[in-house]
Amino acid sequence: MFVGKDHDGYVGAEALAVADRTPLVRGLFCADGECVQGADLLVENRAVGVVTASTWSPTLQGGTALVRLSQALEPGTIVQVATRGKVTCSAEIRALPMFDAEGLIPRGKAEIPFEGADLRPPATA
Amino acid sequence: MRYLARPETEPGWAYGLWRSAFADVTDALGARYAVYNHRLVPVTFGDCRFAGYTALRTGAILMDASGERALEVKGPDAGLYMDRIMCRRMSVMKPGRASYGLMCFEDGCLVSDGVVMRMAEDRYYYVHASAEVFSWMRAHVGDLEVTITDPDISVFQLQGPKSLQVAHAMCDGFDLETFRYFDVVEATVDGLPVILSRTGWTGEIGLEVYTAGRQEEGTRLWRAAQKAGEAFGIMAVGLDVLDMRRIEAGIMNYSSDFDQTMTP
Repeated sequence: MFVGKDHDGYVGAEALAVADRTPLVRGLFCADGECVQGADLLVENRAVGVVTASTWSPTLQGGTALVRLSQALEPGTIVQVATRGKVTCSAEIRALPMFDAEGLIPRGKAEIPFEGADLRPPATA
Repeated sequence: MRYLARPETEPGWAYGLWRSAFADVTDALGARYAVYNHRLVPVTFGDCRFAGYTALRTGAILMDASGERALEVKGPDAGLYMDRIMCRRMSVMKPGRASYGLMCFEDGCLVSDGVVMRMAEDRYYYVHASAEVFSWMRAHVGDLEVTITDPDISVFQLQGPKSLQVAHAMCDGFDLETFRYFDVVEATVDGLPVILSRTGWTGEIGLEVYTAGRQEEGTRLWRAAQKAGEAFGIMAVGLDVLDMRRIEAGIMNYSSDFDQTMTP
C-alpha cells in the first residue's frame, strides 16, 4: 500500500517489482508485562526476531511492541520474550496496527473513548 | 539504560547538533533530549508518561517534533523529480495535499520514509525521518530543473481529540470544517506565517505546525498553542508519550523498526 501500483520508473522500481513481500515487521502483545526493547523473540529456544520498540498500552491493557522478524511468522504465533523485571513471558504476534485497524480515529470518523483506568502495567512489569 | 542530553549554560563543544525554534521554551520546561536526525528532540519533561498518554487520548498534547527535517523541492520539474525518487506518483497530487512518501535505493531497500506536502505546482516539502536524505536527493536531480534546499524549518505536533479545536482557536485563516486528513494549508498564528498539515505520529486526530522562524518566533508560537489549548487540557509532552501511542497504531520509525536493509 505504500508503493504506487500505477507508478514505475522511479529509483528502485525494478527491484521492488520482484521483491519478496513477506512482512518482517509485526506487532507483539504480551498480557503479562512490558517487553524489553532489544530482547530476542524465542520459539523453542530459537531466536526468530527482536523487539525494536516497546511500551505498556493503557488502552489494550498489555505490553505492546513492534518487532522485526528474521523469518515469516503469522499473527497468532506464540513466542517467548523478556519483560521488564527480567521475567520471561509468552506473547502473541499480531498484525499491525494493533488498535484502530482501519485508521478511523485520525480521519475523524470515530471516537473510541478512553476511560483512563488501570494505566500502569502489573507490578512485575 | 539510556542516555539523554540536557541543556548546559557553559559555552563549549556543541557542533553538529541543531536546536529547534522551540528549544528556549522546552529548555525552560526542563526537557531532556535525544538526538534524532542530528537534532535535539525532547523525550521527557519529567512528567509521568501515563498522564501525557491520557492527555493525548482525551484532550490535546503539544510536542516539539523537529526531528522531522523538511527539505524543499522547487522548480518547473519538481513533479517529475518527485516521481523519479518517490515510490508513489507525487506529480498527480494536488497543491494543498500531502502523502506518505518512501524513497528506495536501486535494490529496492529503503532510503527513508516521510511525508510529502505539495505547496504549489512547482514546490513540495519532503518531511523525513532520521536518514541521510539531503545528499541523496541532491544527487538525483540530474538534468531536471529543480533545486533542493533546507529551509531550516521547525515543527510541533498538536495531537489528540481536541487538537483541531486548539488549532482553530490559535490560528487565523484556518477552517476547521474543511481541513481533511492529509490536507495542508498556510495560516498565521499571532501574525507569524505557519504551515499546517493534518498529519501526525500518534494515530490520533491531529496536525503538525511548521515554522521557518527562530527562537523568538518559536517561543511565540508555542505560547500561542499553550494559551489556545488551556481550555482543552493541553499538555506539553516528549517522545516517550508519542512512543506509547504510535506503537499501538503500528507507526514504524525509520532506523529502528525498519531501515536500509529492508524493502517496503
